[in-house]
Amino acid sequence: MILQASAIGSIALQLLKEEKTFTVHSIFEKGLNIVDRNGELIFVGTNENGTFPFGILLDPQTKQTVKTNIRVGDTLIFRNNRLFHNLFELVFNVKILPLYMDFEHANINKLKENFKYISFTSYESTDFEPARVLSLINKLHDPTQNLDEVFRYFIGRGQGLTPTGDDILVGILYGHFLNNFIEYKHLETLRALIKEPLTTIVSQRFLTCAIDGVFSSKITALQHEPSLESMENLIEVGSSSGMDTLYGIYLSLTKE
Amino acid sequence: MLYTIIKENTYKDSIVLMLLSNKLSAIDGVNKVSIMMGTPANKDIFKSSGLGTDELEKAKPNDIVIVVDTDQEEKVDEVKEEVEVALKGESESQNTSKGQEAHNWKRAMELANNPNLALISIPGQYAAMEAENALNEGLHVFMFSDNVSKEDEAKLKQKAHEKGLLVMGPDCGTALIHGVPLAFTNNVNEGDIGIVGASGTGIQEVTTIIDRYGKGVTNALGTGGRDLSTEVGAITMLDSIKALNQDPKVKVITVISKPPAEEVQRKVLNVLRNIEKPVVTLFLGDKPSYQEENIYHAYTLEEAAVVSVQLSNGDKPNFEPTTAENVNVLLKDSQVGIKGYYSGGTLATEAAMLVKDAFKDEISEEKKDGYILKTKNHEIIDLGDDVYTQGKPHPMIDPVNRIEMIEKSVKDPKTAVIMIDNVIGNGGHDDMASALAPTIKRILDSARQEGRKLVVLATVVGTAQDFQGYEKQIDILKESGAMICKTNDQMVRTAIQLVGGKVEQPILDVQKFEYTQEDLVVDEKIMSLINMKPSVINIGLKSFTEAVQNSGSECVQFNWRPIAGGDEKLMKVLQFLNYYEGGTI
Repeated sequence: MILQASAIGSIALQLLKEEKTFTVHSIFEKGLNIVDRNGELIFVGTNENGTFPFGILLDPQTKQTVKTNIRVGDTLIFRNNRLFHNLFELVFNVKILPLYMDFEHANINKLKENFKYISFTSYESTDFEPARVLSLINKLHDPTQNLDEVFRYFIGRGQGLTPTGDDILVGILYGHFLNNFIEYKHLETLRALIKEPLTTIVSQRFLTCAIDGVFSSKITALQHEPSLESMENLIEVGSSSGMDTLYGIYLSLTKE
Repeated sequence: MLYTIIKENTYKDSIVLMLLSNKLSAIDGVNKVSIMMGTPANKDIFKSSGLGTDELEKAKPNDIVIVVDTDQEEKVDEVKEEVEVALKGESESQNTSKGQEAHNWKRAMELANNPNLALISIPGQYAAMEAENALNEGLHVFMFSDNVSKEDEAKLKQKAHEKGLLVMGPDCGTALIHGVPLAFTNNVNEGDIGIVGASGTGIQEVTTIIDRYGKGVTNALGTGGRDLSTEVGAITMLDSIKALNQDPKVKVITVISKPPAEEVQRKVLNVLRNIEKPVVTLFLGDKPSYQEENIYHAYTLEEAAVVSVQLSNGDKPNFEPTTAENVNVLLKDSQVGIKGYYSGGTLATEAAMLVKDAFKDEISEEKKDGYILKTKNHEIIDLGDDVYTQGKPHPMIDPVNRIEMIEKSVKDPKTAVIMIDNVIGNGGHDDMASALAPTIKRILDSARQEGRKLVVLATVVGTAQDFQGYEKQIDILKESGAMICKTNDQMVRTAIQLVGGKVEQPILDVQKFEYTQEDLVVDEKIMSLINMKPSVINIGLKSFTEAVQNSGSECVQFNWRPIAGGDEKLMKVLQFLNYYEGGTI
């Protein structure tokens, strides 16, 4: 059976090397994750949660077909521009998803204005109350700080497959790319910590990308269309992931 | 008391975890429960909220960890059960349920394992509607049903084309999909010849000859007889040709049809002229008047098959028609008539074409219902024609009409040769040879008693792999006194020779034609169809399900009943409502 991918992210494309094998790591409602031998992860699925630079986009029907034919632990091999499974092959005569790194186009004032309409009160009296997150943000532009411990608090903490702390960090990193404030030193500390087994492989993937300024389309939509609608679209991602990310962006943009 | 459950390397959508958490908290007797990924930070949370356990330390960031606080140990099992159900989710629930049958689309789609083809054999007035349902479900369609209007056919095929799907039929009797025979089809070897045909027995004759030459056909796509009409515009044929062209396993493409409408033929030829693979065409009924460098225009079914084999072997096309050997029968001068009683429509058409060609100067045709050819001396009848099948089974299944015809023909003193076909394979009679043999023996005896000789020629359309046994069928017919011809072409030419005629094989120049560029790309869904054994939903005749399953393919039987008490108008309303905004029944 030959199946057709709809699009591919640039990071996924770099990982698809001739004769490379991948293992099915996990299967979800909206798609599945495959990993290579180095633990680098590619998401294969629909764009209901946005598109990802480390994603291979499928239409819903193809996703369903792939899902019914695949089990966790199955092997896939990339050869001749196709990803082969013993029951199907996935063809990639497709467009490469654009990588939006045009952060300078963001209308920060408009974003700040729209944040007024979104309530973040649910974070009060939690592990991620505003004071704690703001304290991290303030330390991020202070080169004298050692943030190892603080990062360890955030990374891998909270509910969900991408724990809340990770999603907030992704949001803060996005805020940084919109409005530079994080000291390089701290980015390097974070990069090193992510390599440790502190969080899930999916979160690791999101964080590694975020440090390099690579975000999912539901996030980069904010720099093109700073509307409430874009924010609401982001909020709908996951059970709380989108909201957690937005919370991180909100605090990093309104810190002063 | 705290209990720890660790699910190693388990991933679920956050929403699933959240719902599970809510569910577990609601269990009576559970004081406290927490579900999180086993990251170091989360282990701290477990500890600080009074849910720290020793086992917890073993958890890794990619494990799901559940810690339950309960005073009733038996509650732990309940929790475990809920966890299993939630984490198993949908992936495990889709085991194929063999032997189960569906009564509606929803159930059929649930039972089927990733279906891609609907096989429809319900009454014609409902068939179009179910074909549309199938297309809406993203399935290719094989429509065995006839009595579907041309408008509906055109509409369905257009819709299919837009969705990247294929509609074979209506009135499609034959198809091989990745080696799986559908409906009336022979079991032929797989191989590198790809066939598209607008005629069922035409495909059967060509594929079985190819098989007997030791070559094979993996895909023979039926289009239905009207696909090449002006209204339908060869939608299925063109998509099929493109698919075979795109399939690297296909070396030769063979196209079989009755002569199409002129503009449609132009369209088909233009696509074929864009193709680099060698092509064989047979527009049965037209005597070819030219050849092309890359397109061989055949005159008969056997020629199409033989040339396909030659091209697949990398040889130059070279077809020499034959007649059966040792058929020297002394006929009376008055015995001039050829009678052909066919179960295969295309074979009858071929016979009529050759007889007309051989005697074109001497015969004037009489137009008569139910005859493919009727002249003063000769008659060729397709007993599968509606005139003969009303209220009766098809002559491939039921010999009664044929026996009647054969007996009647003997009474005509002009009769010299009687031709019969025996089409075996899936869907056919278990032993047609034995059903016809006594009649053949009887008429030959009675002619002999009357002091004249009569020739009965027979051809078996089939392969050694067909369940009736190709050789066995031949032996039975031979035993009864019939002379066996290898192909219909040979049979008809032998008959013609016996009554003193000959068919000239056209000798043709190679001509060159201008053509316009065509986009030869075809949807991947069609490529998938021909590149894997289909997973079928069979709507109608149950025997088709067994046939598909016997060939190792998956098939779910959909026991169709008309909804709305069979009221067509109401059914159409329901149809519209069900598929409005993409919903299903």
